Amino acid sequence: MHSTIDMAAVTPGFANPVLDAQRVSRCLLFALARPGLVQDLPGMGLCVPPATDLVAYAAFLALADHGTPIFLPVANEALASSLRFHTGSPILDHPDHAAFAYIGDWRDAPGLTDYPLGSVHAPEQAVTLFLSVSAFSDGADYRLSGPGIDDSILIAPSGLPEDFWTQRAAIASLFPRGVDCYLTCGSQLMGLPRTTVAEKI
Amino acid sequence: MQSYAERAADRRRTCLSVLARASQDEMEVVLRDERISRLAYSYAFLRAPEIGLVTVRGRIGSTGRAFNLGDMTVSRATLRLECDDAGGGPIIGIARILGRDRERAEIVALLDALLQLPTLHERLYEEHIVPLQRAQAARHAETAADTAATRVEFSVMTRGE
Repeated sequence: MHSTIDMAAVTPGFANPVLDAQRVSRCLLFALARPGLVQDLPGMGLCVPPATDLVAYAAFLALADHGTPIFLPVANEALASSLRFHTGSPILDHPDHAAFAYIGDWRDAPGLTDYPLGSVHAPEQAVTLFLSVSAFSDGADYRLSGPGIDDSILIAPSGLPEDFWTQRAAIASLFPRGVDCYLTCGSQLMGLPRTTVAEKI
Repeated sequence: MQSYAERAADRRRTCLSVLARASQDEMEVVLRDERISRLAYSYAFLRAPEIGLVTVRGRIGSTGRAFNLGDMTVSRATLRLECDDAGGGPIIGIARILGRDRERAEIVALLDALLQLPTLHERLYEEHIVPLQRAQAARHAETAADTAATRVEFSVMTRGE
């Protein structure tokens, strides 16, 4: 993946960088604090590069900088150029050192153990994944429980293969190491932190 | 022999360095040029004008080790020009200027974009950029002469013991 910026492909950033970034990080924090609830990102008239969820793009604009490499499993020149221009983040084509990753389709992505899972002493250095789903309903039912969830909550995102849930359950024993995920769909997102237990029904 | 692309990049660099030093009044004169004012154009920011800091590094006598001299404010902006004369592809105007002045950064970026229009470039360059460049060179020479007049030469005498 070459590291030039194709200026013609760059989409505008936040119209109001300070307030918009604060709104987005508030929304992201809330999503991780209340796993399984669908959050709507407040509208901010953001233009999004092709084949990218608005939530993921907004999250990168708000959170990423030159110290947070972003992994894109599928080359997306418009997204890569926009992120390099606005955030200065290195764009990776391998997951080993990624701080963030945007996964448009789980089938194109490497296994969860290929990402940095953090260490016991620094679990916060694990990757944060943004996984695009086609909808937050009509998929297979999963029951979520854990911190931030009152008893349990049912979710049924579609477009996320069972393989993802299997891999996620397989690394649960490594806690406090692990992977925090956001499921994204257009301007909506759902937090799925490593502490959340999912069981298929 | 420079390629066309290299010459165009050199020319753009020259224009930007002249614009970055020009005052807002000087640039507004350029914007009022009838070739620009009768043009139908609009623009959208890729990066809205913003103010930040850069670290200025120095090197004593040009040979010492580089050190951080201090921080300096800069303003920058990037915009995309929408215009019928644009020809192929979108035109991107960029600006980075010293000091805290969002408005001037915006005008520099806009003029950078307008100067890339093939239909306008030569005339704008000859009629506006070249005179501005000459005036800046004259001002610079004047300051350099004033400074040179106050120059003190230090010399060290070694005692031959």
